[in-house]
Amino acid sequence: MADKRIVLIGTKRGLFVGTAPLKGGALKISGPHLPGEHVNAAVLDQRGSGTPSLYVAANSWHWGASVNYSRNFGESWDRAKQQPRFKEGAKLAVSALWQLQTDGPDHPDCLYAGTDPAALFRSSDRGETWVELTGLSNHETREKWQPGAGGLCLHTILVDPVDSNHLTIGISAVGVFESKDRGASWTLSNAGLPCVFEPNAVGAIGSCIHKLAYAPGQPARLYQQNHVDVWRRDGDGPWTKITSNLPSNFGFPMVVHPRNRDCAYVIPLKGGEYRAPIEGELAVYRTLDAGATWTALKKGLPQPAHAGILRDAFASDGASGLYFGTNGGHLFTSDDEGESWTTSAELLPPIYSVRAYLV
Amino acid sequence: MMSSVTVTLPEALARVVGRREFSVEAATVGQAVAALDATSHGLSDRICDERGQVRKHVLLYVDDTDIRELNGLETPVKSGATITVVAAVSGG
Repeated sequence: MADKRIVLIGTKRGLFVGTAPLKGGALKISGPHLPGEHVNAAVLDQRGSGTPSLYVAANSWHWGASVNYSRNFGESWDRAKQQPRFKEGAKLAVSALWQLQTDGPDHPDCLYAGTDPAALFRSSDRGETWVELTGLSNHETREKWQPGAGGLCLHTILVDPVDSNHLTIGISAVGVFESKDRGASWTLSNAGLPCVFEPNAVGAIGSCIHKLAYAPGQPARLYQQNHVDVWRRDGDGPWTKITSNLPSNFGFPMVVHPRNRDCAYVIPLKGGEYRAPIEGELAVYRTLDAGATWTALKKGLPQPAHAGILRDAFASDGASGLYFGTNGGHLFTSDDEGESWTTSAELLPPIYSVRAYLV
Repeated sequence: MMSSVTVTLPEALARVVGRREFSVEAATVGQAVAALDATSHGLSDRICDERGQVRKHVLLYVDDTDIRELNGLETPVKSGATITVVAAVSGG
């Protein structure tokens, strides 16, 4: 039975960890762990028995990208023995780790990592060694892949909660790919999505996926914040635009309510080169009808605010808690599903990623 | 022909791996970097990427000469030489 909340805050200067009682109480922030590393992703793995493991995707300006793990809640850290790296002769080198994701509960020793240049790696030994899933890297469309502003990054990895053989990933600015065989083979799933490079080429390679998220329940439902509009897909698709009355079709994160499949959250930003709240109005927008309408939730959020929110910097804790960080170093928390917000941390380094857990 | 050389790390990297100086046997700079793994597993990966290229913001010197002015990682090393790893400052 959980008795506290843990919030992993990946920043430009390392990992910070927030801890709070299950209900109420301020987050107590500790860190930085791995100081100086750019932490694009951090995962608390509660599968299996014993103390949960912490996994961190760390990127050093000088010394490259690395998976680091701790088996004692951050008291000490180890670096993976065989990092996610392309095979000799591949002519590619991993420039950054963008994502870490645990596999399904039926594979308790397995995790996935996403990189720039875009590739998917899997560890089958709790993060010690990593192997590239070449079925994606060698996809027939690979030569058409082009980077977004953040690079050619594989930034989203979803494991189907019903079938862990079914993987869905997002690559900027390429698209959504799915595998039904644990990553051996992949199918492009851009049907209905715009292409940023060819405006009339709907469904083609070149859709700039910003974030994907599963809704709970069946049939399968995915939500997506794209560079262009917000989307929903039921079953096998196609994607349907649900931007509706949002004040902007641009944003990065996409969060779905853990129990209500019709409830999702986005944080609209002014697009183009600006990438911060529109006219300084910082607000989370929530839909309760699967994207037909959206309502601004901003009680407690400081106004005006001109900091951006990155694609992995918004998370649910699986209950009523929501957490998002800004590239200005603020962390905001809601204990009531977004109705009201408090400032839980200020003046942290720019926040790249947020994940929250009940422990 | 193998030579006995010293490899020195910058403070930031030495702090992480727990050691500043390494004595290795190598015929080239590249071999010297690879030989670091025998003492500190994964250290060469922090200096060179999987293509075998020196990372973008890292410089290597043999004594006082940048290996980019020599023959890169293929530069031969003589016994007694010191290879210095430098964390290159990029921007301000």
